[in-house]
Formats: sequence, C-alpha cells, structure tokens
Amino acid sequence: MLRYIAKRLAYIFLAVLVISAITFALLQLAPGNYLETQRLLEKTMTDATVSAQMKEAWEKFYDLDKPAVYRYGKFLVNAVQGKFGPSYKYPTQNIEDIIGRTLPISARLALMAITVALAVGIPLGIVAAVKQNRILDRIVMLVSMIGSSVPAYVTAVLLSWALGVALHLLPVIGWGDAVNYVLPVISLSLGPVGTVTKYTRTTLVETFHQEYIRVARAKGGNFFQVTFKHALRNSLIPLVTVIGPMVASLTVGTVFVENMFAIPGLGQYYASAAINRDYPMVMATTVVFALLVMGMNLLVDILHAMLDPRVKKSLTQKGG
Amino acid sequence: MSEIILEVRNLRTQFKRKDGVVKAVDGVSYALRRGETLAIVGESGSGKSVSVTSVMGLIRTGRQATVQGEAIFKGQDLFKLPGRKLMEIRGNEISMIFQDPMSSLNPTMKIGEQIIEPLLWHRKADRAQARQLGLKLLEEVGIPSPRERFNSYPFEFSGGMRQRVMIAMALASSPDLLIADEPTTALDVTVQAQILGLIQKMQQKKNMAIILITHDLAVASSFCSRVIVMYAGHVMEEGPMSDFIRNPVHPYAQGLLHSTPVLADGQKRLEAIPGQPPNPKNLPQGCPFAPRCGKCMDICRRTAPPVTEVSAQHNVYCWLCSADSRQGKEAGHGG
Repeated sequence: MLRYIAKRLAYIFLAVLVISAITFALLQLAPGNYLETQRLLEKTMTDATVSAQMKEAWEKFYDLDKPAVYRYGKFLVNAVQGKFGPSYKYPTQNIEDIIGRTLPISARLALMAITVALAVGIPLGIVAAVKQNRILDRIVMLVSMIGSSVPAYVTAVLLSWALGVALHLLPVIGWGDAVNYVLPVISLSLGPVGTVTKYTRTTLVETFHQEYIRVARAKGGNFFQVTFKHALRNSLIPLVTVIGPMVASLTVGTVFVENMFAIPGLGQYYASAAINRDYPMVMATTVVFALLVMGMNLLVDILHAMLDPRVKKSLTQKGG
Repeated sequence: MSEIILEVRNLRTQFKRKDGVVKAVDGVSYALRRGETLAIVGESGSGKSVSVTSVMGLIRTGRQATVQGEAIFKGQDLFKLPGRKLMEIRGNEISMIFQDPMSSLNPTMKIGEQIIEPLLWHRKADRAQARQLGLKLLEEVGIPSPRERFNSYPFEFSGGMRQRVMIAMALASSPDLLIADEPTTALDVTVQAQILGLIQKMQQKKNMAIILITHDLAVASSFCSRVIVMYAGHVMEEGPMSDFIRNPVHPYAQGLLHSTPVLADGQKRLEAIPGQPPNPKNLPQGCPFAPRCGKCMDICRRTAPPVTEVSAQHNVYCWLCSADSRQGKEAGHGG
C-alpha cells in the first residue's frame, strides 16, 4: 500500500511537471501581455505613465529579457522549493505568501461544501432508495435534480437575495465570522448534495437487488442490519469514485462564489490572473490546483481501497 | 412417524407486470416431516424457487406481488406472523442455501463474519462463542486452515468453497428446516457430490428437514425420500421417491424421467418433451401441461385435473388416472 502511494506521488510529480510545461508554453503563445492588458483594461501603465526605461527595468526584473526556456527553468528550480516569486500585479508580494494566505480559506470552503454534500446527500439518498418510487422518493429526487442542475453562482445570487437582502438573516458580504461561511457553503454544496443524493440512491437501489441482500434477509437481518451493514458499504464504493471529479468542479465553483461574496480566497487570484496575463500567478495557481485535484484523487483511491477489499488486494499486490 | 414441521396449503404467488399477471406459483400444497428430505423438481421457470422464497417471506409483497395461502411452520402460519416474528424464525429455525455462490456472499465482508451473523443476530451466542462455532463450521464443511480463512473475503474463494461457506452459514444456527435452492447447480460434478454428502451428514447430525430444489432428477433421487414435480406453478405429481422413480404416472413426470440420461442405457437417444413451457402470464385453462401432452384429452384443455392417489401417498394431478375422467369426458361432449 505504501509503495502504491509512493508510486502515485511520483506520477503526480510527473503530471504536474507536464502540466506546468504545457501551461507555460500556452502562455508564451497566448496573444497579449501583462503591460498591454493593463493599458487596455485598467488604463494604467500607458506610454504616458511608463517610460521606456521603466519598461526595460520591469522586463529585467521579471527576466523577460531572457529566453523563455530560462524563465521556465528558473520557475522549476524555484517551484520545487515552494517559491514562485512576485507576480506582475502584486510585485511587492511573493506569490507563495499570497497562496499561503488565501488557499486555506478556499480549501476550507471546499472542504465544508464536500462535508455538507456527503452529510446531507447520503442520508437523503438512503431515504429515497428505501422509499423507492414512493412520494418521498420523488420529492427528494426532484429537489436533488434541481440542486445539481442549477449552477453555484445562480444559487449564490438567489440565496443572498432571499436570506440576506429580503429576510436579513445572514450577511451577504464580509469575512471573518462563522456566519460569513453559511451562504457560500450552501451555494457551493447544493450541486454536490444533488449529485451525491442521486448517486447514493441509484447505487443503493442497485445493491438492494443483489443476491447477497436477499441472503442477509434470509439470515434474519432486520432493516437496519441489512441496509447499513450489508447494502450501504457496497453502494458507497461507486460513490467514492464520483467524489474525485466533484472536488475538481468545486474548485471551479469556488472561483465564482468567492467573487460573489467577496471572500479573500485563492479563486479570485486564479480568475483575475488569466485575464490580466499575470503569468507567474497563472503558473503558480495552476500548479497548486493541479496538485490539489490530483491529491484529492489519490485520497479517493485510498478510500476506495479501504472500502473494497478487492481493490485493496490488487493494490497491495501490484504495489508490492 | 415424526411430527409435521412445515405444511404449505394452496400457495399462490403472483407478480403483477405491466403486460399481465404472472402466476409463478398457482396452488401448491405439501407437507414435510422432521428429518425428511423433500425434492422439488421441475424445469426452469416452473416456480420451484418462488415457492420456497414465498414461504421464507422473501418476496416483497405489495402492489407488485402477492403471496396467498398458508405456510404452517411448527403450528404457526408464517404468512400471518408480524415481520419481527418472521425475522426471528428466518436464519434461525429455517435457513436457506442459495443457488448462486458467486453472488450470494457480500463482497466487502469477511467470510467468517458472514457465517456467524445469524448467531449474533438471533442472540444465540456472543462474539467469542460465535467465532469458535464459525471456525468449527468452516472445518466441518471442509475448508482447510479455517483460522486464516475466517478473515478472507469472498473473492479469494473458488465457487465450490463459496458454496461450502453458504452451507456453513445456513447451518450456523442449527435450523429445523433447511431449504436448499439448487445448491449444486453452479458447481462441477465432483464438488456436487461432496456438497450433497456434506448436507446429508449435517442432516443426520441435527435431524433437520430439508427441501431440495433441483432440476436434476439424478441428484434428487439419490438424496431425497419424497418428491414433488412442478410445472408452470402447479404440482403435477408428488409421492415417495422410490415409488416415483419406478412408476411415474403423470405424462410430464414420465417425460422428465425419460429425458434424464442413464449410463446403462447405452445408445438410446434421449427423449425430449416437445414444445415449450407455457407463458406464465397466460396459462392455459385446464391442465397447464395439456398443450405439450401426448395423451391430451378434451377435458384436459378445459378443466384443471383433480388429485388422484395412485398408491400410498403418491398423488397425481392428471385426468388420465382420475376416476372422474370418463364422466368429465361425457360431460364435455354433452356440453
């Protein structure tokens, strides 16, 4: 198992290397550059305000006078040590400090959303599966379908209007207190709640039709013994596999939601970096998000092995 | 004679489908004594399995399925018992071995855990005692090094080993009645003999009653003292096994026996019963076998045959041996 994890970590390292190379290459090919976008979008750093000398100094500071390969090599050497240097937009701060400050906020948001999704979605899915094709099942499924098909930024607007503006129950904007988490977390988790509910119901209904469930009933198992001891674990196995992609989509979701609620998370920096052609920031956030998504997937696979003895055995055999 | 342990009266199990009602079991009655072994034989879809899963209460009744009749087990009607009482009996006094060893074990649960579950659920032993018993059972059903195997998962077992586990599981609580639904169909012949021998050994030890469901007449005849022949949800013939093998009366039972290969027969071609079993959604009026029966008479197509006792406890549902048949024929012609 440990060997398997080590192997996967090596793969992740390689994958991040490839991702960073591709991202870097694409950025070189992308039209426009930071100065131009500033001139066009922000009306700053125009020819009138920036002299040729200053521009030269700026380019020297960011190694723009050197070949791209040099910049990439430097990026790699620094990135391995966890350093990304200053960004174009925030020349006075190192990117790793920005990430260190904002990533925990985004990660906490995403983690809370996932927790809510599982804590609400799994029980709802169980209820729906047990009451299959009854009224309660239909209601739960309708609600979860709506939940999973409305994007997070729409629910964010609706919720902040309903609970914040109309009812004055929760603050719409601001950061720091626990109450500030409520609306963003609800907006973020609504979609995943729907997905988890639907998936739990489907797999559980499928599991209920398995022969070993009938065997468990024939052994005299009551409803709880049959459902929770025999059916649930087997139906959670396929669920675990969708949590990985769900995390990835959540990371994208946080970008919108953080913007919406003015949360000082990493999402904002990620979104604006691409528009502004803030290449160092784009590189850093891409690497961080890639690491996060792949790390989560590894975690999911380990969880999968813990739930399914067959997978565990195949992993330990392959991995030594 | 020992006491009757299970008496099934006029069992009817129906499934409602969009395109009609499936009469899977349509009026089946039988009785079983302690220590007796009853074979229920018939081809696929004849309602053998449904008839016993109905008795076990494993058919989810409601809008889509109904189970009617009586199943008197040790003096109480299983169909009238509240769910909780039935749960106490299931896996405790009545247990079942299922057909497919590959899908009947929970893939994410240790073998030993699954075997001792009935003991724990019915509070017959604490965990430590149950474990000891489980180890003993594993050994009894012939699983080598039970101590290690106790903690194995089903995927680490072959089909034959899994079926042994199923048997150990069914025997864990020392049931009074064991229902074995084609316990050896999925296994090869050598393992088949071992498994059946094992069940027989356990039966003698515990004086269990056994219902063996099979479509293999050879297995049934070597193993069981009584036989019920089912066809399209109906009983065609029932009686002592030895009597039945020597003297099958119902044309369907004769056909079934003639289609069983016998080594001594040498070159003779096996006889097949012509035609197909009837659609259970649309059973023929009268005898369900009539459309395929070589000796079919007018009355067979109109009215279900009454029961006739051809010899001691040997009952046949066929107009051919019914005293009323001539009468019925005349009545039929008259009408």
